[in-house]
Amino acid sequence: MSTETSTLLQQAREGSQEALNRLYERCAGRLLAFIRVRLGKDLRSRLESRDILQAALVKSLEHLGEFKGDETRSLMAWLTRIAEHEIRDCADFHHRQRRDAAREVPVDDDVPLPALTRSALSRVILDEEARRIEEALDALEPAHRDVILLRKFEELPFAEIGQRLGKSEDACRMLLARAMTALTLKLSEMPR
Amino acid sequence: MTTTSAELEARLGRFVEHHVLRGERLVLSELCADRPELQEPLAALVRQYLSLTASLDSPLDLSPLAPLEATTLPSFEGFQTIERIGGGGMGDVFKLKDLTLNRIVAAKVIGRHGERTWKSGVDAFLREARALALFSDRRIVQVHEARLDTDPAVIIMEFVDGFELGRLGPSLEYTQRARVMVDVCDAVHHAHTLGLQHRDLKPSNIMLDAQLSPRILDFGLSAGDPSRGHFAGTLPYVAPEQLDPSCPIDARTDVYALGVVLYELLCGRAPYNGDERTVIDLIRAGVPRLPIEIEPTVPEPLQAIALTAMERDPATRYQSALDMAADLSRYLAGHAVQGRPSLYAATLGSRVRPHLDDITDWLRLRLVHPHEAERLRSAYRALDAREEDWIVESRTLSYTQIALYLGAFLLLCGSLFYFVAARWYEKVDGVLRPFGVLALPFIGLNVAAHHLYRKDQKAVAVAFYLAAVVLLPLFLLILFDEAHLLVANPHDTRQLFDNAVVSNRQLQVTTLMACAWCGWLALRTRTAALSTVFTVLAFVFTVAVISDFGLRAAIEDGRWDRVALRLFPLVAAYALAGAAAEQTGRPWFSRPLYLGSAVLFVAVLELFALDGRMLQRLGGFSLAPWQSAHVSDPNLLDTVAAMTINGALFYAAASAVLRRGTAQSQPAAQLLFVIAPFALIHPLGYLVRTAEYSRRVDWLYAACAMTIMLLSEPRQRRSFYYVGLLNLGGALYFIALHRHWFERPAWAVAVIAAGLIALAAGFALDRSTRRR
Repeated sequence: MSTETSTLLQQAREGSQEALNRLYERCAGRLLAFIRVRLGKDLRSRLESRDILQAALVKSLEHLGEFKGDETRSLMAWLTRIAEHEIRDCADFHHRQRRDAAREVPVDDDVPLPALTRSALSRVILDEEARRIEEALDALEPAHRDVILLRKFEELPFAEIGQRLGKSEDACRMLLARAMTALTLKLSEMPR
Repeated sequence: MTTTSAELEARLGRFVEHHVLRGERLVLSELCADRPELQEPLAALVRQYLSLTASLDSPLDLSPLAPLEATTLPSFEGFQTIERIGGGGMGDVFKLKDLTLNRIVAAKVIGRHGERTWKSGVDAFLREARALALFSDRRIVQVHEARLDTDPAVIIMEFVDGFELGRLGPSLEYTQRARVMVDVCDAVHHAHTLGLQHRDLKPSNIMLDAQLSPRILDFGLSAGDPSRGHFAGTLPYVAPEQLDPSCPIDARTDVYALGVVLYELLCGRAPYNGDERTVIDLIRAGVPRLPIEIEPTVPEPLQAIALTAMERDPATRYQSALDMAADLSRYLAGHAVQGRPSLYAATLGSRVRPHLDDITDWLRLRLVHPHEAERLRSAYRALDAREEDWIVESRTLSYTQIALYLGAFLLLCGSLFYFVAARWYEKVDGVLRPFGVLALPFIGLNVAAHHLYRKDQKAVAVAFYLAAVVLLPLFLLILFDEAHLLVANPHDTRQLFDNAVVSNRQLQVTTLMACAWCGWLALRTRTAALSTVFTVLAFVFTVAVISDFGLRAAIEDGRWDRVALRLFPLVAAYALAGAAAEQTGRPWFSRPLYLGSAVLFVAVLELFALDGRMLQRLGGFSLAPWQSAHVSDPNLLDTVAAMTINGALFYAAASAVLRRGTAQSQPAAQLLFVIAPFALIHPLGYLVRTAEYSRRVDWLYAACAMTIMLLSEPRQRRSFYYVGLLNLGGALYFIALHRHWFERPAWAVAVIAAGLIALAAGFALDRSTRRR
């Protein structure tokens, strides 16, 4: 399966719009969910997560040549890192000046996105299940939420998660198990 | 309970741990070997976990997308098929190039089942729509052509580069969603003004382009003929009247669908789910869950708009899509919305009732005291019979409100001063000045109130109306006097006021007009405040009317029984009017009437008891023969007996109303319960005050007061306590008065000593209860 991803990446690097579009279509949903959870309830209501998603994708487009990996897993890790930078910038900007006016128009026409990618972008939707998971994630304690984001959204290997969190690999696995248990319980408490 | 859930969580934890660390799935029956009853709930949790991991771990490569190249594309005469752009219930949609006109269009291929509902009315609709210039509205997607006789049947329409509202909606801000709906409502209304209805509005029929402007699809496809449309449309966007061929269908049917679209847009799911039968039943029942219950961040005003549009009865919905758009714009502009879904009251009522049952249960289990239960019940009843939302909301004060209130209040004070200057000091001449000072403010207040009422400043509007209602009789009285209208003969003994200050007729006309005006306003604004003023004015009017039948003479002769008898019909009238108001669903009107009835009932009976007339009139007998000879008032025993009977009557009336009375009459019962103990001990106080019987009666009075006070503990009635305290004070006063003990400090010292003893007893009781 990941061979298809590698092929697509290869094609995208060579300039195929179609391949790039397909790649982004695959990542955008997960990436949007990641951005929304990272923003948290408070910021989510004030920042437009789609703007951030779009900005992250535009940035990744500019730097596609720098991306070294060859499968979707590391592509996700790379994209989430860009998105995190984007969130930080937006949050800072938001603190400095409220950009109410800018929020009115979620899809900015000046951004040099290829039409196909733009259509992939607006096709991203969060289904019912994704919304419930997002809500449950919001309700988790931060340590649990972080480890789930790192493992399940950024798709980092446990070794890297351990480095980030300053823990051993096994401790991270245990933490993930506990976090997943907590998330399952949260979901089961929520009305369907 | 807690141990079970803790056990369950621990077992789930073990399952997840094994799954994450080793990639193994433990066997549930082994996990629950010691607690077999946990297996079922654990299995549910594990299913939840597995579906969660499945959705989080789903490899991105498996995204359910159409293959890169569509396999086969249908071809249409005169068009070049470019690609497939979507598919829905009706059939697939393709992007085409019109070879003759060289433009991009969309083609909707109609499936076999779709054809049935579309019929051939589409062509007629197209002609009509073109004639009506409907398609100049860019928000309504143009249908170019309908080829219904070809195979496959196809509808050629304008191509929209955008996405379905249903797909894009959830990731929009609420204000953006509201703005989109304003546009949709506006466009639908435009079509309605041209006499065309959609009948099949749903999120998949509304597209959003890149600027988030909505484009409505399939207009006129479901029904061109305005009288048809039953059983057309898509569940659950079908209005109740579409399910019933006997109900007419009009523009409000589309309003219903718009409500459902908004509902779904707000909370991400349709109001009714399930199979077709279930959904139809649910639509008929019309009790959706509140969107806020599903998604807590939904703004309440938007929810109110959606639910108002979704009202089961078309008459209570927004009467046009434009009204709905206007309310949405109100929300966007930060104003209060006008939609008030009937579901709110119904939901509150159905949720309060179980609590009321709970209270009975708590009482049975001795979890609460009877008085606490009563207080809880009345609080819940107040919730249930709650006045309209704006009254509750208006209890939050603002400087604007304070200034407006102050203005109305000053107007009122000034008018009263003016009235006094005119009537008492006769400093006013002519009609012109009263008109300027009183009538103009009256008109001004009413106009301002009318204006404010429509601008959602309803509480202030009501205050203005109240002030205006008071100004009206003042002005009329001065007017009558200055114009010498309805003036009475100064020697007429039937006039209520001597010297002809105000004639009966003047008072009657004045209060009748004020009454009518106030009653109308009360009905219009639905407020208890204006209803209360109406009740008071009705009393004054009654007094003015019965003055014609010798009220003044009766008062001057001390014939209180006659006064009472004349007022008695009003007690019944109040009660009947209250019941009528309650029956017709006007609780705010019935409460003041019931209270007025209770107060007047007490006053009338007490007046009736004076001078022993009650016994004479009712039974024709008297207790005078048993009375000792040296008592100067021959009717003293009769009076006291009648007062005692009254006390018992009040108590009985209160109990009867409490048990048998309607919900709105309960405050009246509470009031009677407060008055009853006063009335019961009142005869004794009366006896003591006359100081004619035995001197020891005052000690008995004091003892009775003490007893009632102590009774407040077992009965848990605060009114008993106050009655006891007040009457004990009276008893102490009369004891000292009758025995000339005021000049003796010993009496004061004795009372203080008694107080100290009571204090000591209190402390001792406190200690003993603490020790226990």
